[in-house]
Amino acid sequence: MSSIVSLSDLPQDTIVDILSRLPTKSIIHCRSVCRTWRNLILDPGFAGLHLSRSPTSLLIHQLHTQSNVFKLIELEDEHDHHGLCSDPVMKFDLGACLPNVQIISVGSVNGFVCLCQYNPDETIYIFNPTMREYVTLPKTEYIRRSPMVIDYGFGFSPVSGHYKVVQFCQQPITDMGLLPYSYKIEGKIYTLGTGRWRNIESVPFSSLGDGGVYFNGFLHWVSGEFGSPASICCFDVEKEVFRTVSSPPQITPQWKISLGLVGGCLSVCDNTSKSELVIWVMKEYGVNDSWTKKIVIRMNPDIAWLSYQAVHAIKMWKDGDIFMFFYDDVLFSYSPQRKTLEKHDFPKDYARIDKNIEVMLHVESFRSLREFSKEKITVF
Amino acid sequence: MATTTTETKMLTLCTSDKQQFQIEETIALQAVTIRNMVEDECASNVIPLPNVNSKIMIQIIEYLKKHVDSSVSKEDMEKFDSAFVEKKLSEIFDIILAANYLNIKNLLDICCQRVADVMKNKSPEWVRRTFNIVNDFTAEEEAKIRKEHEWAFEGVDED
Repeated sequence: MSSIVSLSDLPQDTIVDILSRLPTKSIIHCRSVCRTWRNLILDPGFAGLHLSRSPTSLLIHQLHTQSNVFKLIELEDEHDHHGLCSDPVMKFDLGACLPNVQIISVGSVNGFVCLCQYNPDETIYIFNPTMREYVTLPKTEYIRRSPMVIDYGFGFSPVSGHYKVVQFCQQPITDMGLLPYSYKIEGKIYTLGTGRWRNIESVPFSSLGDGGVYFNGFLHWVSGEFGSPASICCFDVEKEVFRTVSSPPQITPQWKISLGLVGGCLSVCDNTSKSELVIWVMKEYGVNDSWTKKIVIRMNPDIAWLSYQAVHAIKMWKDGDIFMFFYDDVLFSYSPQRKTLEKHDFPKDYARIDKNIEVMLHVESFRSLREFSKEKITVF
Repeated sequence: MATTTTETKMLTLCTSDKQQFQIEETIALQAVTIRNMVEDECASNVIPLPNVNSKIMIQIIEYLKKHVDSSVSKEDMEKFDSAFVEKKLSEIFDIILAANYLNIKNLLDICCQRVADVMKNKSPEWVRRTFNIVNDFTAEEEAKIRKEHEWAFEGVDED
């Protein structure tokens, strides 16, 4: 009756649709199937469709070692269960192309990871781990010297499609013996593809703490001076202007306060109290009155360790549990229904898991950094 | 005896092999192409669908009948969908072509997902063999492309 239809007879849009649903490795395999498929996958339209379907994974980076090992871990996130897949979908060591450097992560947006090299000198890289590419940004004038604080943020403007890195250099302007410290902040900004840093006219904040959290076109930091109520510094990536969002009530800036995203809301994790850890969420973005206590974890002797360090909220699982990271070594989930805490094992090929781990959510992207022509590109 | 006051409006669909299918309008209108034809009033009593044959039309009607039923739970609908795509790939391709022409997005989605699930973690050779795709790269070109992403070729299913 019907003639036999094969995959090649399907419209190209449909073939692109099918290919965009495959896991990363399979897509790479399909690039070597035939010329037509290779061209379909290299097309920027493919990268866009794939990104919209790309699952959120966890990028783990081990710090302070000679090597800079990154591993990408798939997350199982269903309505009835959650967890970390034990085999990394990807791993790479930047030590091979960037030997003897110390690196920390700034952030991951749409598959691009911004990394800051702070030793031996100050350099910013933007990576696409899936494409095995990175670009090196031109250096800025700052040389990191105590008590100067250098902070970064990496964000994206949904309006213009621009990726931008902001750098804040905080210099004390009072005698360090006198409290409270007073800082002067200078800011610089770099738009990917332009080849140069520009000055941010004025930074109307005196101190920026934990943050660089990107959400919906804005970057966020906890701000304020020690001992006074905190506010949240909010930077519009498109317009390059600042505004202040209030922090939850009774929050003062200090190291055990962290910013994050929980269930699509800006969140503050307050671990300053000895008796409880509180996660606040801003239910309606930008509405100061909408701060709500989402989770309260009461401390007990079994989880006494939890109160010793800062805790970051990573995400809310579909089953309602909260995925969190303690200090630099413990991944765990907390169930508000059962009031239980479950530690997650690191992937099994971490034979010996050290401290000095940093984690961030990451989605894989096939968009090549070659599209931005002004920076030096390296393939690794 | 009660008489039917609300008469169910029916549409007649005519497939490429000249078979006619009488189905309720609400069922047929889930296909955006049919809805546009009806709304533009360019359809007479019989809607010709020259790109769909009767064998495929029967399956598409089965799908649309299930999906118009709002009493079916989300879970049961997912079960139905996963059972529905358990077909030979050649049949899935036929349904994809029809769903594409009729513009039934969900059906297109589940069929594309089914093909992707089959291709997952398979080697380029397996993909070419299974889908009759001619390798038009030279050996050197293919080796070069593989080398670009060598890491992705560790631990691949050959079958």
